[in-house]
Amino acid sequence: MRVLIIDDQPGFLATLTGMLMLIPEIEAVCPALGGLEGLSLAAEMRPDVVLTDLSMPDLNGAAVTRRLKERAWAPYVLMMSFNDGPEYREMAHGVGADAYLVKSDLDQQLVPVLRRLRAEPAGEKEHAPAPPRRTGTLARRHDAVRTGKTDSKDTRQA
Amino acid sequence: MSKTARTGSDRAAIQATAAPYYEVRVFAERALEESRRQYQELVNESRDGIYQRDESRRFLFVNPSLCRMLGYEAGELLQLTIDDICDPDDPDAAQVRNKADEGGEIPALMNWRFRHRDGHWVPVETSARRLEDGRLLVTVRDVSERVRAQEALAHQRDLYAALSETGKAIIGAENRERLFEDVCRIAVQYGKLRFAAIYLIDPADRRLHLAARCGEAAGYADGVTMSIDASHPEGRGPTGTAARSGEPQVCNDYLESAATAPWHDCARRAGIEAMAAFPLREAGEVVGTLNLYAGEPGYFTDELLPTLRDMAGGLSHALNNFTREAERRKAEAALHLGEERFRTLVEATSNIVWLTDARGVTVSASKGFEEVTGLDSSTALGFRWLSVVHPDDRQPVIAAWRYASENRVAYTVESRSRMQDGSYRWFSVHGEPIFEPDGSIREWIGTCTDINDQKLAHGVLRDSRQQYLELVEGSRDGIYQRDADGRLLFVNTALCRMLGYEHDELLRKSIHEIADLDAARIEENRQQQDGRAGSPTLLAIRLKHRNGSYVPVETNAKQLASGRTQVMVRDISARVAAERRLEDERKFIMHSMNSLPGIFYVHDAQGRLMRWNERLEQVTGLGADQLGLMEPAGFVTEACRDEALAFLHRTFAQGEADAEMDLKMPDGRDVPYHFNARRFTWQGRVCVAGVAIDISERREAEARERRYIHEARELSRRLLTAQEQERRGIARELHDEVGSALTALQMQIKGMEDKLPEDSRHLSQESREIVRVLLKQARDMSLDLRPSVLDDLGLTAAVNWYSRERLRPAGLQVEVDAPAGLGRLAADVESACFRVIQGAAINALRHGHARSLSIRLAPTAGALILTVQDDGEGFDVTAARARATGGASLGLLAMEERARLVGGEFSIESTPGAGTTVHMLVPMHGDPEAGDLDED
Repeated sequence: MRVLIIDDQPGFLATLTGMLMLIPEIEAVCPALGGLEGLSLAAEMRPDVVLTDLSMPDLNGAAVTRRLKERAWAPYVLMMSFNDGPEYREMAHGVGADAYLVKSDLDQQLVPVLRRLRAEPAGEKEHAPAPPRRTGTLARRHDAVRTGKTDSKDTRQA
Repeated sequence: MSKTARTGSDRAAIQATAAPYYEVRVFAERALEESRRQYQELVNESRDGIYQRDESRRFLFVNPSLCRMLGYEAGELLQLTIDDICDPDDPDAAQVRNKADEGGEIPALMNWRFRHRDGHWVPVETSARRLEDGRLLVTVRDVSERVRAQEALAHQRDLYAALSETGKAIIGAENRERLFEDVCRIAVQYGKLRFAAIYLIDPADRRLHLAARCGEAAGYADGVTMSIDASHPEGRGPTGTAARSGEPQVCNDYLESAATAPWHDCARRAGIEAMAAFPLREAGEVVGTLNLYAGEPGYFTDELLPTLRDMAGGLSHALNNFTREAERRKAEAALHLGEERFRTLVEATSNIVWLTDARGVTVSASKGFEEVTGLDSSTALGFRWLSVVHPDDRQPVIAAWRYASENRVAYTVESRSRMQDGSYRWFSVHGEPIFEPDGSIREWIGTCTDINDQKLAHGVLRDSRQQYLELVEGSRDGIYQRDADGRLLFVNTALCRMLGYEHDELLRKSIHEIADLDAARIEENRQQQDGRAGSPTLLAIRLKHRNGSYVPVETNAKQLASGRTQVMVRDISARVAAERRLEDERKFIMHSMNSLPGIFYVHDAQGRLMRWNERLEQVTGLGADQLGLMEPAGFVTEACRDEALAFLHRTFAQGEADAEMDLKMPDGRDVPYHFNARRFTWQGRVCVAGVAIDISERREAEARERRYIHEARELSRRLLTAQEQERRGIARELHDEVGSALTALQMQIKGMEDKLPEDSRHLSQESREIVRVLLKQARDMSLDLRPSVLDDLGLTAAVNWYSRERLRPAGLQVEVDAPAGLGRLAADVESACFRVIQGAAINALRHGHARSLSIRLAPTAGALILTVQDDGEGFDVTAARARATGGASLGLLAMEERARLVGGEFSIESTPGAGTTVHMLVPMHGDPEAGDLDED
């Protein structure tokens, strides 16, 4: 299992990376210090799972999730935040995240969630319900501008 | 034979040879010489003038007689031609001369005249003969004497004719004057005299007075005076002498004689050279003279005198006849004096003259009766005249006559008589009794005089006099008449009243005592008077009241025909007082106008300035003449001109208007003024009165205030922004740094846990729980500072989160009405809205003790309307705002400020006991930054 972690807090990123590396099922862990870096690394590494923070200054987790989910190789996306509440969970679901994790409960929930994802058959992933697509061309073009040219190419492929 | 030979040495020889001829020749020469000498003597001694002339008419020879005759020296005469001495006006003479020069026939004798050197003409008879060489030899005889004799004869003849004519005139003469004139005329006409005159002696002054004259020099008579008094020079002339002596006097050298010296000048001018004076007698006495004046000296020859004396004698005879005739007539006239004279008189008079018998029965009435009354004259006879007397006047007429009759006196009575046209006219009837020798009345003679016009005129006069008096006395104006010295001759009641005097008291005064004698003032009045030439004399002066005060009056003086001055005096104290009040009022208004802090002006409907105060002149630096001619609103700056015209129209349309316009100062500055103008009617015109105040200070204050407000807002915006940023920063710090660190710690503890012995794992788990609590606390702190949900999810999510997590747990029932699809708004708008909701909610909870709260977000076109309503206790907004401003609470002000910072409108309604509603309206534009979270 290949995991990409996106968070703008280097300390937290380092701790989480180190912790995940200890998990045997996880073949590779890649940290990214922001949304934009995360997206470019994701395109390169094609992770199975992307673990992204919600609040980031350059590109927030919601945008990162939506773009990743637009890709043909769309990974599982787990959104994490300090905040909890139905609004957050609805939002995460809305942008296509596979799970919403509250950071204070990460120690208890992260591993079970990853394990649950790994247990799912590979084909399931392929046949996983497609995330809701944006239909507005304006929004798509906007996204392309925001995410760089590699992404816009991907968007066309999608 | 040459001369030389004759006079040379050969002479003797020649003489010798020519001896026999020589003697003959000598004899012949002697004879010739003799005859030449005789001829010369003849010529020189001749009494006739002799001259020779050639064809060029120049004299070649003249003899001494001719020279004497014409008064020239021979040498002078030889320089002349015949034309120089001939009469150029005599065509016959010229013709004869021409003919002679052409070689034609020369008449044997010619009568003409030559001019003497002194200019007078000399009548001559000439006989001419042409000599062989063509020259003319002319003998000239002076025929003056002959001519004179002929003329004298002619005079004689003329005078006889005159005498004859005079005789006829005397016989036919009707009166003396006519006769005198005729005689003078005849004397001049027939006697060829320059002038004839008849003078009569006035016994009173012993002078001779002109009675008649005739002749071309008759004007002479006007310049001379003559007397019969020998002691005067004027009495010693021919006339005076003739009148005195009774003998004719002749003066043939009038201009030379000493006796006529006093009249020489006049005579010379009149061309008189001789005169004769013949006494005229009447009844033996010399009464005058017949004076005859001739234009040539020596006119009155002895031959003439008898004739002339006869003429004068005839005239005297005629005068005697006149006297006799006059006396005869006088006697005759006296005979006819009676009835004839009376009738003439009666008929000549325009009055009616009547005659009655003693009983009053009219015997006759003059023609005047008919003419005056238009009635038949028979109407006047008997007693019928009474029938035309006006019925009212009959009795007085009869009574008057009866009284006169009884008392045998004359009477006069005035009565009206009917005219033919039925109208009555006034007559004055006067009757005089004529007595018999025994003293009884024989008859009455009298007149009726038409006095109708007099009567009417009298009536009119009386009426007008009456009216005049009534007018004068009834006049409210004072009237007085004064003489040239200023004494009052008449004063009316009004004047007495005006000046506080009794009538008689005032009449004793002179105008100088009651008039103000301020010389300067009088002079001023006089000048004023000069200024209006042609108008009646109108003066404004003042008169002295009896009590010493002055009465201002206006006088109107008129010179009366009697020499008095009549003056009408009008008391103008009321007017003067009114004028003074008006002046005071005017000054008051002027002062008020000028003491106004700003500009004051009045203009007409066309915008032309009519009045203004000094301030306008000071402000604009323009003079009164410039302002008076100024264009409408000409004193505002160019840029304000349109606004000024609009302001003018607005004022007229609405009655009142305000405007703010700049004025151009003389120093070039533009100063803002606030104008307020009102429409009103003044002097019959619709006008506008305006005031304008310098508002530059206010403008500056406003600008300052705006700047302060702007600065304050900027400050508060910065404060709020800073606060928000700080909160957000701390929140993020807590959330990112602290939260991340704690999370990492928790996970590390979890990582270590697996390596701990089983029995120690609960310690690790406890540690993780502690960290979890810490994390929760940090998260709550962060959320309270700034809900990250607002940044992460937008306003709707934040409101929902806030209600659920903070308000409901506090026991408040919250209803949120926010559309799910509101989308993200600008971050500051979301913050502002959230903070306002938060503020309202906190107020509801803390101060209102509300139980329920409604939060409503309603997006409209371009704006978001936020309403937060609670069911709390409510409060007095004004008081709360005052408290807030005083620093007691910042909640309310902070809400307002946040709203305003995002360009929103904030309002709060609250009634104690009825809850509070907060409204906010903010402009809304979608925020592209936040668009990524928009999950529509």
